[in-house]
Amino acid sequence: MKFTKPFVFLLIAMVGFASLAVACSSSDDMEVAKIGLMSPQTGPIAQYAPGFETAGDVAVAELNADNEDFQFELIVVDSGCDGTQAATAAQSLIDSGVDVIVGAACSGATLGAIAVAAPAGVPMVSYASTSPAITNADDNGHLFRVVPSDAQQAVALSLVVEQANVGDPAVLYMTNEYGSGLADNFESNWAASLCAQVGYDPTEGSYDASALAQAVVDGGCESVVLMSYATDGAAIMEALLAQGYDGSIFGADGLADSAFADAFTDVEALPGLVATRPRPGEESSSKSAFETAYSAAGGDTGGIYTHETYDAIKLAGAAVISDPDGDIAAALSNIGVAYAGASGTHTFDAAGDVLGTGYEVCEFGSGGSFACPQVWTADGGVSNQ
Amino acid sequence: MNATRQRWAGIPFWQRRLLISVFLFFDAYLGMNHGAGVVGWSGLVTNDLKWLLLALEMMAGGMVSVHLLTVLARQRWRAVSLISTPVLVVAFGFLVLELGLSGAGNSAGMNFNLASIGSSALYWSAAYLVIAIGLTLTYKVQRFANFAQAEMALVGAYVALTLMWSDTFFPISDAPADGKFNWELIIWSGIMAFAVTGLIGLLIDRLVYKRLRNKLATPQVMMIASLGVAMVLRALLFMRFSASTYLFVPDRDWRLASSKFEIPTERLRLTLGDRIDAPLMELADKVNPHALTYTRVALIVGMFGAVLFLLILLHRTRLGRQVRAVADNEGLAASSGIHVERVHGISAFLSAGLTGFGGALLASILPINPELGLSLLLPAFAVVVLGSIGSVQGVIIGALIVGLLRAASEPILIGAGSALGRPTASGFAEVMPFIFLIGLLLMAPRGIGDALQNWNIERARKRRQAQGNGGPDLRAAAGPPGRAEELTRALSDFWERLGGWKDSAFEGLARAISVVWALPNAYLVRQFNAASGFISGLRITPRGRIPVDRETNRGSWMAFAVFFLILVGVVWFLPSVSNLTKVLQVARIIILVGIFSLMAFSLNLHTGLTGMTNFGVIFFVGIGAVTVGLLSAPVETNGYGWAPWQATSVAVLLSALAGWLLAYPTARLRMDYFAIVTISLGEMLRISLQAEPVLRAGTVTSAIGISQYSRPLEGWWESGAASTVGGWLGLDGSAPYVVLLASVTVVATLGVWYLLNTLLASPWGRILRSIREDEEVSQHHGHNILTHKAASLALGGAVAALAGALWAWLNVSIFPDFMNPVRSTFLIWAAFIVGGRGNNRGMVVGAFLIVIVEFVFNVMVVARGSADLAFHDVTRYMDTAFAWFINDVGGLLWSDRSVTEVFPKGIVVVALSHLKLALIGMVILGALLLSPKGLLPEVPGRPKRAVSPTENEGRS
Repeated sequence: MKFTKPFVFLLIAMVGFASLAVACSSSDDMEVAKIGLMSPQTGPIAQYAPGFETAGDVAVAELNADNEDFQFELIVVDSGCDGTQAATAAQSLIDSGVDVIVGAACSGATLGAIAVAAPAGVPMVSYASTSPAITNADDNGHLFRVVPSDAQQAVALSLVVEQANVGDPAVLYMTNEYGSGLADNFESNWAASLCAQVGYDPTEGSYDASALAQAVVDGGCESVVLMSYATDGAAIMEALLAQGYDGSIFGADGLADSAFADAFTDVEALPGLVATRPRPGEESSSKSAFETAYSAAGGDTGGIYTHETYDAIKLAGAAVISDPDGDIAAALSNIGVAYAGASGTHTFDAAGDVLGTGYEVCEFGSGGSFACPQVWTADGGVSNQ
Repeated sequence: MNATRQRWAGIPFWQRRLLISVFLFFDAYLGMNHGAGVVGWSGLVTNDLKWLLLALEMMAGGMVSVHLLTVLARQRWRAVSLISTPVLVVAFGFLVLELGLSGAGNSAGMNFNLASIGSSALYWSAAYLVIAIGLTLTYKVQRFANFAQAEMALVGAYVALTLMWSDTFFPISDAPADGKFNWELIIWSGIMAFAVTGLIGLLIDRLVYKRLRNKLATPQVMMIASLGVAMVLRALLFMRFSASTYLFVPDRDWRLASSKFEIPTERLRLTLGDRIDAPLMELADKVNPHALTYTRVALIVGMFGAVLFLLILLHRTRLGRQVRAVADNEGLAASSGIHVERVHGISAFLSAGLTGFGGALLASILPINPELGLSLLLPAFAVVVLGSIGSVQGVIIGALIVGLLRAASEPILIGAGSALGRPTASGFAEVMPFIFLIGLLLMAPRGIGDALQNWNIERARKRRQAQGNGGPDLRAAAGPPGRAEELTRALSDFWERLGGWKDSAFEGLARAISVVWALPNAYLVRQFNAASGFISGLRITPRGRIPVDRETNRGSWMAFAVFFLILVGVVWFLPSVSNLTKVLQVARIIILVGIFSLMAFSLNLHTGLTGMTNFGVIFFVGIGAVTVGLLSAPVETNGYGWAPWQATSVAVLLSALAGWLLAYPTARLRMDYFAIVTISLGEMLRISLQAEPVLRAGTVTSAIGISQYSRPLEGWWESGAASTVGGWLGLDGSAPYVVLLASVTVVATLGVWYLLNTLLASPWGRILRSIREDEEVSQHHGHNILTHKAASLALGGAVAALAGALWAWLNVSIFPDFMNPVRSTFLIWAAFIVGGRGNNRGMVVGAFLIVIVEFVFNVMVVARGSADLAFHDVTRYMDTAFAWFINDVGGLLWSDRSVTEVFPKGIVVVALSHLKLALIGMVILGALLLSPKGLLPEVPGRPKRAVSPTENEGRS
């Protein structure tokens, strides 16, 4: 036969590789519990993956320190922010015997992966998928998430902007599921008309911050609502300052973090920003504990959804501890009642969603100060905390 | 009927066109303003879709008349009309908007801030030029589309970052703002980025492209090789610099909001549509000056300076003359004593170096991460195509046009979008270059630079005739003396006056490149050759093996069987924990292999057999998936509630129709143009999924994405079949739905495969092959090329749509990112090249290989996290080796800071998901270098001429 080329070797090597895997994977250590983490290591939000993974390491280290029965292991795979790749990655996680999967970040990836995980009986806890499509997914009660759907924050944000009484805002938002969901809901909650509504693709090299800023200035808008992530949000705010814009700027949880200042080279652009973010639990010291551990682990402070990642993994670990051999999905539902996490107090409803406990209203002051003096709750509106 | 047709054909061509255009225009006009006309009367479509159709109809009418203008105009006027098409097309777009909006009783206000649009246009031109300039040079000399060009810009950017993090320069970058501008870092980064990226370009040229050139590889093969290079480079950048985003700060003062030029400006407000008392145009009375930041000025000046440098180099030095000679005719250049390989090396150095230089400048404006490439690469392709591939003057004009279009479309889209209840419309600004490019290619199939050149030749000829001294002056005819050219000429006269040192300077540069190269070159290339010679020399079977030739039908089947069995063996041995998970795993692999095979069949039909370089497989797949999803989603969530099989048939027909229609405007385009048109179509569909509310279903709030659609036979399966099959498979409960989907996929794939093979064995298959080999000859034989191409595109489109439907069912949701070309089109191309062009068996093997690589690699990825999995130690060793490399070997080149900035706390680990990307890239490159025809080469229709086995040995 004329199979003279090295492909044959490649293939044989692969067979050998795989059979070796079978041969070696027969260890029966007691009390090892594997948690899978799907992280968007490639694709449009790849820059946030290191933050998720660091938060995951922090959570697993805490789990291992806090219990004596289990040795938790975190298995990180690449979701690619894409349904196909995420589902393949989920399959690999299941093949390696994980008890629960934490992820994915992008809603498309989460929906692709649950189609694999649910039939295999492995529950998933998403830490960043905000699409309403998650609520209706056909998951047999296996899909949970610790982020509220976009709709609620839009209500809070619109009330905050309304009470600031600074005229009709321009809405600048990312045309991804997070930004566009928030913008749609903001628009339907905003009684008056919007000064302008401009979407942009947050992939670097796809938008021109200066042109966006100019559109706001030319429209004569007196306030701006930014639905963006840290990097693009900072670029737009710097461009707004450069174009001489002097109105108010509001933002959502993509920006509401003291670390947002690190994304600026000209910090003069930041003071005055008012931004909302999910409110942490009342008596929770979990948030500050996480933040200390996270920065000690060298986590990227500009990250998003790191608190949620941490909470999702802690929840998953608690569920495994509570009912190691039983139905982990049911255990998650039980544990997830008024669970005080770093990103808020979580209670799963029947669809596996959390309602959240309201939002904090934070403000950046001059000289890098950052404070959250007010809160918004579904029934109480905005009040001082 | 027939008589009418004949009468129609009897009317002169231009009158026919005019009639069509007038009819389209007025029909659309009636539809917009009086609710009449074909679209209005048919009553099939309403609301948004109606307005969209009317706008399209009117736009089509306008395009036909503009096209008529270019066809009818003679000589000089033709060139003039061709060059003015962009303006005409844009003007017509405004007219359509005006009529449509006033028809809808709506008005749109658009603010054009002139200085802002100007600066934004220059910014986009410069940003696209960063990549386009290198692309053009590669096109000119090496004659292929270099997909790795964007990665070169990234290399330049990371060189700048590494320099910024070095011990010498970090104090400058990190110093607090003090009002004094420090130039040191930005200048050194520019120089270093140019040199380092250039050398990397040279290295890649020697290792990859040179070897392919020596094998007389086609531009297609070179293009795919560059895709492999791009994958490897991007993966290496990921592994070294992680996916985090970094900004290059040359000096904090540079980036302050106060570091800007204030440009006085005017603001023009345009009101289109139903104006009540606003005038069509008005100037705002008080406008703040527009701010142009210093970093942007640096990019714009730097990039246009680099283009000027290249122009002077090409047109005013001996070296440049050599480059142009090689570009024009390699053989002739070689025979007149030019060292062709050295010219190739220099052009590789320059094209990579200039792009790297631009990347360094870009990094001070855009935060850099390794994903950046594609968002700049595709528009840069549009720029190059617009400027007639390979023309440096053309690329400047192309960049300016695309930049202006990009900048001006933003206010138009914002204004029109809010009037039409489409605030998302501004998301389309990104694809405006593609829409425009496609429109323009319909008018001028050879790009705008070509039209410009013709115009100039015409002018030169006119002038000569007027002077009456006859004889053709080749120099004047070849060099277009436009305004830009006059400027460069004036500059270069000055240059000329500087004396003869410049030639020696450039010669010196060339020498330096050669010398620097010669040191590692000889050794590295020798090693590489030795290694690949050793690999090629390996034989799996003993010397007395049975001579089975993969290029015969029987041999091809046998080879297929062997490869297939090996791959099945790999699947067999993939680890899993339980029976259920193994079933899930195998079903998933079967479905993915089926989907990828179908897509590869489609690509093979278009590219492997008909010879049309289709980079838009995902466009057809996307049409299939989106149509199936939309039509079979529930009505209450913006869907149509159709049954899956109905939706699938419509999707397949729609995609076939799209393929058929695509043939008419594009059949005349040359290979690269067709490639860029198809890849743009895919991107347009992806952006539409993000920005167009009509393409959303599955949630009550119309959030992005399509979900909740029904899947075939789901009810039947759940209601009993599942548990029966579950019993057969030895599962505890019922079998998961993917098992059913896997069997549907197998049936679909085998059916399509059989159908295609039957069709291709027919005379029609031979016609397609003859079109691939030589269009003119098959036209001469009486075949209607256009119809056959259209049929091929339609059939391939239908097959791809079927794959799309299966994919939609597998993923249970459709989100825009599933259309990312990196994960779809490029992977299918890899399967196509590795499997073997022109052979459907090869497609299956290629698809299988691509799918399985992911699974096999994940075994290792997963092993890192858990001590009891296989390969856990292997990943640890890899981390150790990688850390040693980064800290101790690389540490000679970069500072500790550049490591700690990237790896938290300086703990270096290998990013396995990117290592996988690098390996896929290597597999593509290896396949191309060692066996350019693929694993299973095309089986020629006729038996090969009898050649003795010894003579045949070693060649394939």
